[in-house]
Amino acid sequence: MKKLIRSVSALALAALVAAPAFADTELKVFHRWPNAPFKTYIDSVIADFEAANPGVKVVTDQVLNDAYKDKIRVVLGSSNQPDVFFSWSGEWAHNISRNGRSMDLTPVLESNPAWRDSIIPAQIEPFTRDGKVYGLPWQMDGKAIFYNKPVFESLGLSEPTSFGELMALCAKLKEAGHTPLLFGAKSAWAVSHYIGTFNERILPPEVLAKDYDRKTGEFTHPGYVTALEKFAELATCMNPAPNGIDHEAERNAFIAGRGAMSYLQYAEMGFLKKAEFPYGFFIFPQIEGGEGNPTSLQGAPQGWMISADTPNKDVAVKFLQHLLSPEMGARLTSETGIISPIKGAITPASATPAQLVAFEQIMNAGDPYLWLDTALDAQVADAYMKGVQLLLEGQKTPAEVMADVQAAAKRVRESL
Amino acid sequence: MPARALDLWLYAAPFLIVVGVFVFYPLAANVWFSFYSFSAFSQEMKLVGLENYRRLGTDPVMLTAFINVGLYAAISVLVQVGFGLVLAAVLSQAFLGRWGGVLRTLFFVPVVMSITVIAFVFTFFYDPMTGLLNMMLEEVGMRSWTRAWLGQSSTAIYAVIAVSQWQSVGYVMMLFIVAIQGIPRDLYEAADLDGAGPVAQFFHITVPQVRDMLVVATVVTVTGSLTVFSEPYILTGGGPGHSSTTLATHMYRSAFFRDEMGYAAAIASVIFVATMAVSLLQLRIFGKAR
Repeated sequence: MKKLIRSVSALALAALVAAPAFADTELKVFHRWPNAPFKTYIDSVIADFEAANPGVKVVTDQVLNDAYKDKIRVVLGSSNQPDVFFSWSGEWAHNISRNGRSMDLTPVLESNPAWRDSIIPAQIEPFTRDGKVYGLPWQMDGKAIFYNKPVFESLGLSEPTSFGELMALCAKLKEAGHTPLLFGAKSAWAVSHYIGTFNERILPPEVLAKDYDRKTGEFTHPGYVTALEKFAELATCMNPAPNGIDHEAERNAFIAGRGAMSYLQYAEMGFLKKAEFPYGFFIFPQIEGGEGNPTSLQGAPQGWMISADTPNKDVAVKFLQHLLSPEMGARLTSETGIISPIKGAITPASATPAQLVAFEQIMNAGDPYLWLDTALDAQVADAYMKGVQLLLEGQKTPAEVMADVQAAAKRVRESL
Repeated sequence: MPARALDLWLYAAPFLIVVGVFVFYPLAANVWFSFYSFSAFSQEMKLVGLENYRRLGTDPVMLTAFINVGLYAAISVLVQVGFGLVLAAVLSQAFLGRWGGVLRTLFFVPVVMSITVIAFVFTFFYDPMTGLLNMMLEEVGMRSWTRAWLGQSSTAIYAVIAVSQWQSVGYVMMLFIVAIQGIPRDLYEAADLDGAGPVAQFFHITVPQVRDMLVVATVVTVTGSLTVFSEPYILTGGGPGHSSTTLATHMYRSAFFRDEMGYAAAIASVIFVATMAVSLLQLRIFGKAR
C-alpha cells in the first residue's frame, strides 16, 4: 500500500512539474487595431507569447478608435471584462482607474525594477494617478505638420518657424494652385489635436494645468478665445468644408498628393510609405505673442491596462512584460512605424531616419501635452470639438464656442 | 383561484416572464437610472432626483434632436408611405407583366442590405473631394450645387434622411403590394365599367382599401424616425456640431462618449414617452377616421 501511495505521489509530483505554468488559461485582450500593419504585428506577438507559455490561449477582440472609446466603457462596466486592454493616457486613463476598473501596477513594477527601468519614465507618468501606476506605455507619439517636399522645393519654401511664416507659406501655396493644408474635421478627435496645440502655444502652462483639471477647470482666460481665433485664421489655408471628410480621408488625400501639408501623428508614418514623394515634417511653429510653450508637442503615450478584476493577473502581467520587452519594442517600430517607449528599442537598425528624428523631437519636447480629447473630461472635450466644427463653418464665433466649453466645465465641476 | 383561471395564468406565464424580464424590467430600470448620475463603469451612483430631466429642458441639443426627428418623420411619411404607396400601385399593374417583379426586386434590394454597408457607401457617395454626387453635378453643369453634403450643418440632416428613404421605401412598398393584392379585382373592373381612370381608381379604391396598412406603415415609419440611430451615427456622428443629432445619437453620445449614464437614461425615457405618445395619437386619429 505504501508503495502504491509513493508511486501515486511521485506521479502526481511529476505531473505538477511537467505541467505548464499557466494550465489552460484564456487571456482576453481588447485593443483598437483591427487594421494592418498593427493587427498583424499584435497577432504575431501573441503567437510568440502562446508558444512560450503552453496552456495559455490569448483571445483578442478589436475595434477601431472611436468605436473602441464607446465599447470599452460598456465592457468595463459589464461582467465580461477583458483581462488586458488598450488605454489612452491622461484623464481618459484616470477615469478608468478612478472607478476601480484597472489594476494598480505599482507593486508589480516595484518587484521587477529591471522591467520598470527599461521603460522611459516620462512615458509612464501620464498613466500615474496619486502616485500609483495604472497603465504602461506601448507607444510614444506626437503630432507634426507633414509636408510634401517636392511641392515645397518647387516653390522655394522652407519649414516655418512662426505662425506668421506658416500663414505666408500657405498664401504662396494657394497662389500656386495647391491646397496648403488638408484637414478632416469630421473626426472630432482630430479637431481636438489642433485646439490642444493652439492652447499650448498661446496660454501660460499654469493656466492650462488649472483648467485641464476637471476639479478646477473654468476656461475663462481670454487666451482660449485668441487660440480659436488663430485656429480660424489657419482654417483659411485648409481644404473647403473640412467637416465633410474624416482623418483617414485627409491622410489618404495627402498620400495621393492632393494637398501640400497635413497635421499627422508620428504613429502614422507607416501609412506614408505609400506616398510616391519624399516627405518632411516639423513641429507646429510658435505663435507670435503667445505665452505658452513654443516647442511643446501635442501628443501622449498610449498603452495597456490590466483589468482590476481579472482572475488571470499573473498571466496578464507576463503578457505585458512580453509586449513591453526591448525585443518587441524594436519589432514594433520596425514593423508598424510606431515609436516604442522601451529604452534601446529605437536604433538605426530598428527605426527609419524619419522615426529617429521623431523620437528626438518627442524626447526634446520638454513638456509634452496630452491629446486634448484624452486630457480633458469627456463632456468638456465634447463641447470643444462640436463647437469647433461649427466654428469651421462660421456657425459659431470663438467666444460662443468658449461659452459652451465653460458651461460644460462648470457642469463637470458641480457634479464632483 | 378557479382551475380555468389558473390554467390561463400558466399558459400566459412564459410570455409574461419573457416580456417582464426583457421589456418591462429594462424600462423600469431605465427610469430608475435616470434619477442618478453615474459613469458607465462606476460602482457609485449619485442620486440627483429630477436634475437630469430639468437639464433636458434647457439642453439646446435636445431641441435640435427633436427638430431633426420631426423632419425625419415628416419626410419619411411623405416619401416612404406616400411614394411607397404610389410605387406599389404602379408596380401592381398588370401591363408591367414580368417587369413588375423585376422592378419590385430592384426596389427591395436596399432593404436587405446592412445599414452599416449602406452608410459607408453613401459616405463615399457624398465625399466632397472625390464623391460621386458632386462629380455627377459637375458633369451636368451644376457646379454651383456641389458641396460637402455631410459636412455642412444646413445639408447634413437632409443628406442622412435621403439615405434612409433610399433604403426603406422598398420595404413599405412591399407592405402595400401585399395589401393591394388583397383587394377584390371586381372593384377595379366595376370602376373600369363606370369609366374611372387609373388615378380615380387609386384614390377611390386602392387608398381606402389599404387604410389598415396605411396605419401600420405610418406608425412604423414615424416611430422608426423617433429612434433612428445608425444612419446619422455612421454618416455624420451627429455633426457638424450637433446639426444632424437625433434623439438616439444624443442618448448614445451622452452615455458612451460623455459618460453621463444617468442623463442618457433620462433621454431614453423621453424617447419612450414620445414614441408611445405618437403611436397612440396616430392610432386614435386613424381609429376615428375609420
